[in-house]
Amino acid sequence: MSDSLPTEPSLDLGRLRQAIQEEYAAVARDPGRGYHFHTGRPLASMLGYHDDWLEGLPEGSIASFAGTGNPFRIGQLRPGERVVDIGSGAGIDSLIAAKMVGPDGQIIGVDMTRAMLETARKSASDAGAGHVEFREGLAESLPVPDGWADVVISNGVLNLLPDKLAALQEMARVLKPTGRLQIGDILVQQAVPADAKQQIDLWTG
Amino acid sequence: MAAGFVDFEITWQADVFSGAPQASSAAEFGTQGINFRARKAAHEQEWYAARASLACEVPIKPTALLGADALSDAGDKGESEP
Repeated sequence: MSDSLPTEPSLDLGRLRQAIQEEYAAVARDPGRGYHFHTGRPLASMLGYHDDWLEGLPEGSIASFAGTGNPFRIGQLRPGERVVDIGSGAGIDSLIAAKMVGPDGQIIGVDMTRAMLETARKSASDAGAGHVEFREGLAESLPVPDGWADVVISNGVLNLLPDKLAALQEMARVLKPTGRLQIGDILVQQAVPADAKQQIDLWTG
Repeated sequence: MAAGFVDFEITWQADVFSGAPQASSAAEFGTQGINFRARKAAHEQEWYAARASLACEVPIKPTALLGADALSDAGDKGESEP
C-alpha cells in the first residue's frame, strides 16, 4: 500500500496560493459581491448551522462565511476541549467552537489570508472570546505544537491544497491520540483531467 | 511511522454550489459538499490494524439540498460523537 496521495507537482504553488488569497480577501472585504459559491447567513442556513450557534457572533464573520459543509453536525464539541480550525477564514467556525468548548477550552484558528485574519480577530474581540487565537500560517505547516488538540475542524479548505497528504499529516501531528477530525469539504464524482488540474482558475472557481 | 487516522466516514453530502451568484465549474465535475470524520489512532498497533483491513466505501447516496431539514436525512449521525 502506498503512503502517498496524488499531488500536483507541476502546479505553481505560489501562484495558486496568491489566487486563493485574492479570492478570499475579496470575500472578507466585500462578502455581498456575489461569488461562484454561496456565502454568509443564507449559506450557513443551507448547511444546517443552528440559529443558536450563530447567536451573538459578529455579523462580519457570518457575512464572510464561505464553507462547504458543517463540522459541527458531525458532533458537537465538549466543554474544555482544545480545537484547531484550519483555514479559519473570517472566524465563524472558530467562534462557534469557542461557544461549545466554553471558557475552559481553547481555539487556535489558522489562515494564510491576512484580510480574513483581520476580520476574525476583530470578531473574536467584539465577541469577547479571549480563548480564541488566530494565527497566520499554512495547513501544510501548522503553527501548533504536537499533540495539542482534541479536535481538528476545517471547512472548505482541504480541496484548495495541492499537497493534501502534507495537510493530513499535520492534522495528525497536532491531534492527541484518539483526537477527532471533523471536516466539511467537497468531493468530485467525476475525474478531473490532468490538464484541468493545472488551471488555477478551476482551483478557485 | 506515526499513527494516522481510523474510523473515516463521510456523514453527509449534497450539492452546495447550485444557485450561486456566479457560474461555477462545480457541476462539470459533479462536485458535492461533504462532511467527514475520522479519529487519530490511539497507538501504532491500532493504526497498523486499520491499514491492514482498509476498505474504501462511500455508504450514502447524494441528496438534493433542499434546506437544513434535508441534511438530517442524508446520513448525518446527529450531534453526538462517541
